[in-house]
Amino acid sequence: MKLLPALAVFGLAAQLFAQQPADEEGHGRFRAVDIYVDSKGAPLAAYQLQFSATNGVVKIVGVEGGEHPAFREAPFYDPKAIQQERVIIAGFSTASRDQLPAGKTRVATIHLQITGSEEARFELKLHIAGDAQGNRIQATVSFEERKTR
Amino acid sequence: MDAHATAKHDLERRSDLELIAAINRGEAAAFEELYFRYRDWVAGLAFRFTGHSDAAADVLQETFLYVLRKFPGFRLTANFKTFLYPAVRNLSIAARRKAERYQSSEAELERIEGAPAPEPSPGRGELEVVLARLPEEQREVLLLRFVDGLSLAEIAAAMDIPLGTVKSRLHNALETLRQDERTKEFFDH
Amino acid sequence: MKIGHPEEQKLQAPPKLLAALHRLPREPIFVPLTVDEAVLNAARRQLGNRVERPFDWFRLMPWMAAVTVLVLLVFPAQFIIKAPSRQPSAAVFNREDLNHDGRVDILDAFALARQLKSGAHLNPQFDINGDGVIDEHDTEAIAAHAVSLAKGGRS
Repeated sequence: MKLLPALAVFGLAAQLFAQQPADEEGHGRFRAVDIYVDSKGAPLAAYQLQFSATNGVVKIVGVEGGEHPAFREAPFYDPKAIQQERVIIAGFSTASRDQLPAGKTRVATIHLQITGSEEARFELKLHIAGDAQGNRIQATVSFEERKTR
Repeated sequence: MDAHATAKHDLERRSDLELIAAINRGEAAAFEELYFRYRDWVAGLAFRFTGHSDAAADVLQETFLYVLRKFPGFRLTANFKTFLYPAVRNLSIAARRKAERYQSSEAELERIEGAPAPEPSPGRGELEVVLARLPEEQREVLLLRFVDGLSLAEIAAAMDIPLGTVKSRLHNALETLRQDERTKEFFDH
Repeated sequence: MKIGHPEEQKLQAPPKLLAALHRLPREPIFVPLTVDEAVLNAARRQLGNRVERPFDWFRLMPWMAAVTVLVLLVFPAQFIIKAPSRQPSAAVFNREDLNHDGRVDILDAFALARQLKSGAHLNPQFDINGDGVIDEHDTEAIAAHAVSLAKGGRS
């Protein structure tokens, strides 16, 4: 009978020990979220948007550029956003109108570290989108989390 | 060259063995040099195993934390890649298991661990298509030998298999490439 | 292993295959800076040798550029705001609000970038960072302000 509690304690201790290195390093899962702007057919030359996580389990660890050459370079963002839950990203391109994306395009990818087992929740808000002359245009934003295999 | 650049240059010129000796003496800068020297290779290898860059980043971190726990007292007795390879492979398998944990069964785990690489995206070269269809163990030996530059003995040590098995897998991989219509041209003289 | 032995020859890759293998496209793996920091911080703690290795500015250059732009943005603002004012930020915003829409956002940075590209004569007040030159650094200064979290963003 004394063996069972001892085994239980040993099992718990072993689990804790196994987890310890990860906890010490604050290690979580890495995820990437692709950010899209859809300019509804108008050439997109500039955008600014805010991405935030809403349930406290996410930290932003990096920001990458998009797929179209006009927005391939990493966007502007505040370095203070790293390790936080909110970031404002923005980019522009002085390329000519025919070299700009029109329609839905991936403008950035935001890399995240997710701690805990709770499902991460995100919010995206477009501040502004502009055409090649700097005029505001209508656009919508969306995101897609990259699936882990 | 200022003092900072000189120190960095000195570290870059040190061999892996010299860096490891320095790390054993407690020089964190030497570990930093070793880390950056192999970081991208480990990340690429982890990506080869996991197929996902986020999982590869996880594996990269775990691999070097594992390396760090070997100090002080670590003795490198082989090529450093030979030492890193099994750690990366095992951590990658663990990462893939974790990702599939809600769907896995024993058969599924076998599928994960033994699966060939995913099909390359359309437009990619024919060599990649043929490589993707090789059994994973043959493809891995081929890439370790001719892309990562390990010797056959180093591959045997890294994968913990007999030298004869390495030779056999490499021979079979090359034979497949030689016989395939899409890649036989590489063997023409 | 002796080169030239028939068995070993079968295990050699012909030059064309070797070249093709080395040309295989490799997807760049994004390594978050936090991974580097986690590993290197752990190393510094464990190895206990607080060797004051200087920052590797080259590897951190993009980050330092962004911080530098932010610092340059703050200092000029401090010189402009000479006395308490009900609208201390108005003077700063007026300079950076190139399109005069009442806010500083990426369209203002874009406006300056377009003017720079066109080669038009530029108003000296567009020297946002105060370095005596109007160039892409001023564009970046405006962009840095636009994305700054400190100003509360534009939620």
